[in-house]
Amino acid sequence: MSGKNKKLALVLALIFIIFLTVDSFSAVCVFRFPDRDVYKLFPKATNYKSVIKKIDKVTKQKIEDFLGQPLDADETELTFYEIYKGKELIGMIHPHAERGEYGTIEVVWAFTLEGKIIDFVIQRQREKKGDFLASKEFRKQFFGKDVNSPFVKDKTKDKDKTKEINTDLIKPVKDGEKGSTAIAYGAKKTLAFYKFLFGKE
Amino acid sequence: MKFLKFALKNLFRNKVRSALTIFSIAISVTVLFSLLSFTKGYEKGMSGELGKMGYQIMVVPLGCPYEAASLALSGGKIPNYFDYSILDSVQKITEIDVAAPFFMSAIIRPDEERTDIYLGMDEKMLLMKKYWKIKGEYFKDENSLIMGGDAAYIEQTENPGEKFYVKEKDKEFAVTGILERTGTKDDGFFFIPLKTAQKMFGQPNKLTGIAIRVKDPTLIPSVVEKLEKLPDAQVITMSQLMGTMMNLVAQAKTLILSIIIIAIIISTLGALNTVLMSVFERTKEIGVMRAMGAGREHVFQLVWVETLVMALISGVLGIGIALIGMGFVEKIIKKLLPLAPQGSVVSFDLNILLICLGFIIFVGLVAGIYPAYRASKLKPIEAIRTE
Repeated sequence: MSGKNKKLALVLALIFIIFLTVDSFSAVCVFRFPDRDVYKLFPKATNYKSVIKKIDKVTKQKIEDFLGQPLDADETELTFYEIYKGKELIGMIHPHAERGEYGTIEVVWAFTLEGKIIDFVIQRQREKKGDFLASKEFRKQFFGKDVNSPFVKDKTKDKDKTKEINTDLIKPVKDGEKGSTAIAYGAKKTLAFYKFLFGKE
Repeated sequence: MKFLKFALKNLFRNKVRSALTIFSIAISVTVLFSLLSFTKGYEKGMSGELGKMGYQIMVVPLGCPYEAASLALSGGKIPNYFDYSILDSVQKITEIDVAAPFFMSAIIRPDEERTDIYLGMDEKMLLMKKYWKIKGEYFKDENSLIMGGDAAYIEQTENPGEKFYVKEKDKEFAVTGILERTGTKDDGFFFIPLKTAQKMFGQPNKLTGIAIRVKDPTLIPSVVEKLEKLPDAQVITMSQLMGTMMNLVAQAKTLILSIIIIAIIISTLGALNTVLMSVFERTKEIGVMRAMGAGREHVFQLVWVETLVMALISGVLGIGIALIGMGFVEKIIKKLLPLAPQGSVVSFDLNILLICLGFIIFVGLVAGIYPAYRASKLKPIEAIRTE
């Protein structure tokens, strides 16, 4: 094949691959308002890029051991968003959903490359105390915390309560304990995903 | 067989030209195959879904009956209401087996990119929805809620007993049942008691429709006649609805088909041009063939087979692309269509495949006649002299 023909074949193949993969990308993406939330969480961001990470059996086991809880059946492939300021990678975003008291709470977590929480936004929820869960007063308790922060109860002490909020670290919203717990556990899980999927062990 | 080998060899002489011609015809075939598969799939899916509904007639408030009926099927905020008392008049018609009143409304949350559809119903609706399999149980009280299969998945509600809160109406529900996936629009709905729905949306004693099943389908015309006499109400049968939808699809199909035909004509002219150019380039060669004893019919056949092979490759490639991209096309169609059935709307059908393949072969045969004729008319001596 001549150079010209090779180029043509490459372009055609590329068009074909894009045509086939557009849909599969959108199917795994649960970040609903990236254009709004990326700049809210990272005001200095100029660009972002999605990264899809598959969870293999070994990594799954590591994460489950770390959390003391099994992963959900659909948690096999996760989308992270790398946030850039120019060409510099300045942080990460990961949208994560947990069941609250009244339904799913979808939280978009923003954290540094070292895995320290910067902030979060709630993109979907039905909680009665939803406004309080989204308030800065509640959110700021998470700022600067990392994967080793005791968001939930210690698995060595309370083996069966590793999904329950550790009120010594995070003060739950009054009458919104379940929602607060869901967010706290979501924080732990998100940071654990980052730790094990990006080799930050 | 020799002709076939020869034809293939000729096609490979100018790979880029042949590839582009084949690709342009293939794209037309892809669109043609996808369109026909969609029409077939849509009709199948729609009739399957309407059949599953369990009712043949819908009584809706005055306004556009098709809009109301389609909203009731697909889910949405129905803007018109009639009084609950109309149900008494409906139930007096003896040919009616079940008349199930319902109240449908929606809460739109653009900030969260979702619309929650609530269907207020009573136990009569259960008689229509015989295909339902509920994990848990029917409504226990006015605060009960049954979740469609998809809705439950999105809300991460796995078991009855969970709580559900509607912020906009400050209303708390207890989930008493979760539907197994039905493959209909029901999967995305939240089902609540009729009176609760009326109260929640500020329309006490109002209905957005009545679903009706008659005792015998042959009685539908006479029931419709009686229902049409009701004040403030309009009647629509599921077959009318199906017909209207299929008419809309047929109109779109005609338009798209016209565009495809134009595309195929252009592609065919491209193929004709490609083979004609190839004939001109090989004038000397054809002359030598004729001088060595090849007859006009041999030359004709050779060029004709070449066009045929090109059409065949295009057809197979086009159908292959369509088959691979079927899921993608389906998702796009579902996003664009306001009332797409829940199941598959693009159906694979062997007949459609054969029609498309046959059509493109026919087009190839027609397109090949002129170049083949030109090639066969070349005089050996003049052809050999050509520079």
